[in-house]
Amino acid sequence: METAGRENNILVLLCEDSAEGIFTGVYEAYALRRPHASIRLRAGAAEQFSLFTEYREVRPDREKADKVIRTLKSRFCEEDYEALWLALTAPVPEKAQAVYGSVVWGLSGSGGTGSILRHLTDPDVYSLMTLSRNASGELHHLKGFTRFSELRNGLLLAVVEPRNAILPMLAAHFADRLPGESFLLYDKGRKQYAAHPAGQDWFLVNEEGEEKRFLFSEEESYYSELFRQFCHSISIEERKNMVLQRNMLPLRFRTHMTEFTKSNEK
Amino acid sequence: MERLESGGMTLMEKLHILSDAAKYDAACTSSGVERKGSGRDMGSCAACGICHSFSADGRCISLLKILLTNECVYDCRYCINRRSNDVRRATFTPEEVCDLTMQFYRRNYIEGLFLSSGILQSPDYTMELLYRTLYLLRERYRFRGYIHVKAIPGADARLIQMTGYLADRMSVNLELPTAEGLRALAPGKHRRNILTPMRQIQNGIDANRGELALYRNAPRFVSGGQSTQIIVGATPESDYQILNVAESLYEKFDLKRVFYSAFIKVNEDKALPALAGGPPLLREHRLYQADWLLRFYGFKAGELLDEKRPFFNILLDPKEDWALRHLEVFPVEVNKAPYEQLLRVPGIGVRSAKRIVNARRLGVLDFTTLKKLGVVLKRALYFITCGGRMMYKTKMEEDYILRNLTADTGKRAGIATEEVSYRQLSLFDDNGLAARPVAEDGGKALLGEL
Repeated sequence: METAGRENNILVLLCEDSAEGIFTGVYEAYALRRPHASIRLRAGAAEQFSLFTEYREVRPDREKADKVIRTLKSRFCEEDYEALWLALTAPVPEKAQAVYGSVVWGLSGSGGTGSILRHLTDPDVYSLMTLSRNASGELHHLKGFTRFSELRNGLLLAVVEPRNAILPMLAAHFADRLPGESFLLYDKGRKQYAAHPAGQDWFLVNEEGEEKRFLFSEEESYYSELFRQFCHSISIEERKNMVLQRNMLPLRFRTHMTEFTKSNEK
Repeated sequence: MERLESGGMTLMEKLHILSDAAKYDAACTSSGVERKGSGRDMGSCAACGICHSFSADGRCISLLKILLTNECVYDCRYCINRRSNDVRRATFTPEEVCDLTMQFYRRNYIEGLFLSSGILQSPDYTMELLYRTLYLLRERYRFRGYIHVKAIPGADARLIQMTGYLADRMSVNLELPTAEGLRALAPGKHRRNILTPMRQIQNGIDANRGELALYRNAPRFVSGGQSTQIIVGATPESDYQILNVAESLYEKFDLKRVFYSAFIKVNEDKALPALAGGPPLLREHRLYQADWLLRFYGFKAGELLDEKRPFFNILLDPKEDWALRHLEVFPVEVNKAPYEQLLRVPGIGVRSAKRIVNARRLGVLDFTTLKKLGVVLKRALYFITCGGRMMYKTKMEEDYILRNLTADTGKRAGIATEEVSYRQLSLFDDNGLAARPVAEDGGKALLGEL
């Protein structure tokens, strides 16, 4: 940050890696009443320390975060507000700065009315756009690539391994789509379940202890075999193009997809 | 677990036969309808469409694409299910279709159902079967997901009308681009018979718009619009003829999509071309690119091709080709040119053109910013200026630009080899800056940004 100058050292606020933590960081940054350019936000601990830089940890505070969220909700358009939340799911520490910088840019009003995402010339806004686009792309992929299997008790279970922490958004999508089903959506990497009892609201549960084993219903192998058959026979031999298939459906998604696994092992 | 169904054939065998027979239909989109969940019944629709899987040929699997039956009274030369072919025949019961759809849908295998059919007994009889299946699925099984159904040419207008109220998209396949082609390869089918239901659906959609304006809760008729399919390469029509047909279908029949399907020779028949190099995939691909230019870029078929040059360039996409023949309108000043003109620059897509128009309100754009906005400079640089300057010193000469546009890799010239990935274009493609559907996997997809 050139504008900071030598007498005005950079201050890095280290926030907890969560929406609450980062929004608290945004609150504290404003409360300091320093030039915004002299403050940077970072999610999680600092990995390496720079010269002429002060580091300060910010403890997450529900009340402060809520204040920021209320402001953003009223001052930002729906598209931007959604982009901010999506960017927060990214697995990178730079997201905190992207959110902070974009909020500053948006609230300053220098971009006029309309979405801040049009102002891609600002590095923080550009980074926010990149992060949120990435998360929304993965969310869109998983809306299609998630596979449920039926358990003995009629419950549906799906395992996903998203890079971004988008489990809540994915759960909301399936709760809307399958209101009459009881399902569990399991984020394997983060050891977190989204549980949806039929006809009720869904909620998040953190898994503790050993990973649970599940027994599949008898019907399950019948329908999954039917689907494998379908995927096989719908393909046209004369047009075979595995490169294209891999471009469209990257291998990392296939671990938990019925049509790419032999039998039900989870 | 083995289950015997009617006729001694297992559901597995039926699904094998009837999905295998349905695979030559190109349409598999689930887009155009936004329908939230009801909080009670299963299913919802997303306007952007959702791909659930991709088969080994790289085509998207979004819908459970099946025929109700592969029995057929017609004897179309190009069709695997023609009467004179000795293939195994099967027919689903409506209940089997419903059960498969519901069980696949709740496991999130599919976005909905694509139901087509051979002609069993008569068009009316077949259409009624399709109607009964859809009725059962919507009313008894309470399915709210996406349904794409074929309208059978020659079927009673009322049956098509009633089916339309249960479906999200309807389509009638034109099959061959001209009436002569149809006469040669599809005895028993007449162009008039195909266009009649197409017109009827169009009128139905129009009338429904009026009803919806009056009564918000009026039943919706084919809310995702109608589409059709043209087989490319089975008959001698030129690209120019095909594109003209597509253009008039968009203008006169208000179609949502025209799909092009590279002809695949499934029958040995002396009326069919030999096709030594396999299905004409590049031709199909160029047609899709041109189709995109018609629908979103304000081009006319007559601008892209004409009687003297009735086929697309093998080396260049239709937009580059057009630009090279119209060097008099280039270079375009990015900071000033109107949106319509930006759209005509190779390397600038719908999204990047919009971003440019927005971003230049706040300041002068330079080449670095253009790159951030998603412009493919590699292609655009010959056709644009930023603040009056071109990116590099280049010549405004057709040969020079052609050489440079095609020089970067040998793969453009060798486009027909297997290394290239053909794919259907999507509105959201623009140099990896797309917001939704597909993450670009490196620079592997050659296409996309026109």
